[in-house]
Amino acid sequence: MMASEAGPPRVGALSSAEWSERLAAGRVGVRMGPFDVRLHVAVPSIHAPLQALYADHPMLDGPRVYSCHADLRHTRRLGRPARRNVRFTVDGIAPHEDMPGAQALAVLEWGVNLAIAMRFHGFLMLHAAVLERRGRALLLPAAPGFGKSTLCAALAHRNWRLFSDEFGLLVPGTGSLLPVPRPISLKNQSIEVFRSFAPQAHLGPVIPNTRKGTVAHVKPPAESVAQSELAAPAAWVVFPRWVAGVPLGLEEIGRSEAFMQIATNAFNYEVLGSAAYEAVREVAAASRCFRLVYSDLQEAVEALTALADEDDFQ
Amino acid sequence: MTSSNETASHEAVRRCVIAALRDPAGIARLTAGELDLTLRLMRRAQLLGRLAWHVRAAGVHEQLPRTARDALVGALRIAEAKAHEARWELDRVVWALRDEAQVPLIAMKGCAYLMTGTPNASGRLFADVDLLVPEADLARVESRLVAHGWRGAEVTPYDDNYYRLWTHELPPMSHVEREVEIDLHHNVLMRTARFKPDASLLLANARALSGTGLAVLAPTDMVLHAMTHLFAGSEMPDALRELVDIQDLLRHFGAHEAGFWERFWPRAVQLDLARPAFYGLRYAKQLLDAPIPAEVLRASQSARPPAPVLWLMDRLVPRALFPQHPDRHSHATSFARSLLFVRVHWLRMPPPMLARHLSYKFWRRLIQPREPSSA
Amino acid sequence: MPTDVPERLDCPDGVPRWMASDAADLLWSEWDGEYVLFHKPSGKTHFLNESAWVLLSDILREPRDLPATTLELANRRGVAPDEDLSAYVSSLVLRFEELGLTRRT
Repeated sequence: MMASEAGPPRVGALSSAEWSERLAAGRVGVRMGPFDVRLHVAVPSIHAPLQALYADHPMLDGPRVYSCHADLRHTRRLGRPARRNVRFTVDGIAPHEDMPGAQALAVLEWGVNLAIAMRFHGFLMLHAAVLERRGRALLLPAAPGFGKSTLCAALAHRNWRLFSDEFGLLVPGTGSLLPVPRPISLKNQSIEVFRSFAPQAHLGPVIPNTRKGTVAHVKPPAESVAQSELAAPAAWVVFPRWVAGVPLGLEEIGRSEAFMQIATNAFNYEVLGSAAYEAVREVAAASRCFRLVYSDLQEAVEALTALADEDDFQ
Repeated sequence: MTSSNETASHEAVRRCVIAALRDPAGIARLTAGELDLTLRLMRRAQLLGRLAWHVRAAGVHEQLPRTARDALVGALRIAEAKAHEARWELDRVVWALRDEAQVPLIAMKGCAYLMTGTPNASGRLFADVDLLVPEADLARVESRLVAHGWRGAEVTPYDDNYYRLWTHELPPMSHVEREVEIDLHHNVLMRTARFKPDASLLLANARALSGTGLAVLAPTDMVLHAMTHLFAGSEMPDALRELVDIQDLLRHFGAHEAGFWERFWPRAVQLDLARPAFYGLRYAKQLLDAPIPAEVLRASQSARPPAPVLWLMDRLVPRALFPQHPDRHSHATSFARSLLFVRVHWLRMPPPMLARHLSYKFWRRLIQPREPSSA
Repeated sequence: MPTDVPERLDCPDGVPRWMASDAADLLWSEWDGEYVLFHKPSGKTHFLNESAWVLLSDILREPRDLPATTLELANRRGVAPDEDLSAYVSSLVLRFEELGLTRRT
């Protein structure tokens, strides 16, 4: 490896001892797409899983302008350490109540999501999974529990580039989305379903009893992280829904309905005003929009891949 | 009480924030670490939108690193969205009261700055809509709003009682289809407060904003209201930005409103708001270098508190006003804030009520952890 | 009291009329007869059917009272101006007024 090779070191390049020491001292920065996140994690039990999940992410050092300073630590309380809660804060402020220490990794991941969602209104932020193929972006907006994250994780491991399982970052005026690849969170049964689907994927620890059930995180593929500066314009908007035992159904829907669904799924639609209207209008106009119902993950992946591959771009 | 580390940290915070307020464009010349801290502090002080506006106006936005630009854009978007919301809410209130056209509707604080375009409105993060109406019209206005879809916030009977009997407000209202909170006032302070400004004097000098159906307080009264709210009425979390409002208004009216300084102190006395005005002038000058004529400062000395009180305020106020360093929790600052919290309530309520109210509020805070509205 | 009286346009015969707010206040799109509307002053987005759109974008471009509005809409849609249509138009126009999309003159 040439000394002149550009780019910051990867999180995975550090020894686990050094990673742990720096994380505990608050001297770790991780680049996640357009966001530079400062991490201070005084919960040693999650140091190793964190390093594994972010192994391919660029690691930042030294003074810089961070997008947020995230802090996770145990709260001061008497009692056995295993029963202690953890407190997540962003710039010294706790956005929610303390959580059980056993859920520390999930709390940190959700916390960073929250910090992003509360601040970065230069983007229209869609509650959607986003992936890219053939230079175009697929949006999967959906309410929780409809299976979007499972489908997202599956596509990401079948030659789709992961942008995000949670945040569609639409840049107003461009019709394009920005990647922010981060661990994908799976819930309950989908954890095992996904393990069978992609046995080579790396999963973090299984965390039971969270507000959303049992949760585990999938490490984003290295190529997705490596290309996190590459934007893509929206081409397909698919509203997915997993239903047990049903045959696959992929039904095109009207653009006006698609507009309404997309806007409803935007965290900060009202904040952006006319820019939000224009951004959603552009996506609805430029994309083919579908409703997808499926029970078999493989079938759903094939159908979406075929859809992307059949489209003739000018 | 304070370690030298804490003091140094507080001093660094103060320098950083004051520099950003005095010279927003100057943030383009800061080191990355200094810029990072500045953004974090200004966000905590709810002044990030203001900084963003000034940075953009000065043309240096593009010189900043991407993460800084994204943070500023985010803060300014929120500020603009809330300003837009406030304007529309005022439009709808005027519409709802169209058959009560003879009732004066005075927009106060944030809405007044927005509607008159004072410099502090730029990038300001609006919260509630504050409206002043004559006491005799309060019930009628409330019922019109209710008829058009506004509802009182859900409050416990204790809070409802507190609001109606003791404060100058009804419980806050909001329209069922919008989230903006409206506070209807008939004075600028509680009925039971130590200072008793005559609301009819405020109404008599109010100025109509033609074509809007609204009026605003006269410039001296607008500033006095802000000073009163900060030093006798607020609960201190937004304290610095209220002092920034005051500083901007003094600078603006001093330059653009003929006779402003001649009228200011006599008006403060006439409205029985001399003590809060004393503090307002003092700290706007000392901390934010507001351009106040020497003779006005001299005149205000007649309302200075006893020396021990002033000594304490001089130490508490800066500690409480400036944001905490985000990485270091300062016990001295928390203590200062809590002392001022008690003081503010003492000014608003008779002591026996205060004790009861404070323990109730403390209990409420324990069972309802609060979420910040913006990070 | 020095407050301004809100503007009232002429209402010469006491009959209320309504008029749509300025076209410049709106951004809109149409797909398959369904309309998406962004109202800039309120920052709100609305979804309208064909009738509602015709009312707002065309019929109410000039001040009209409710009977005239109902009649005009009936003509455009090729339907009878009956009580049902009248009630529908009335509720729509009042709702528009509440939303700030029309104003009473």
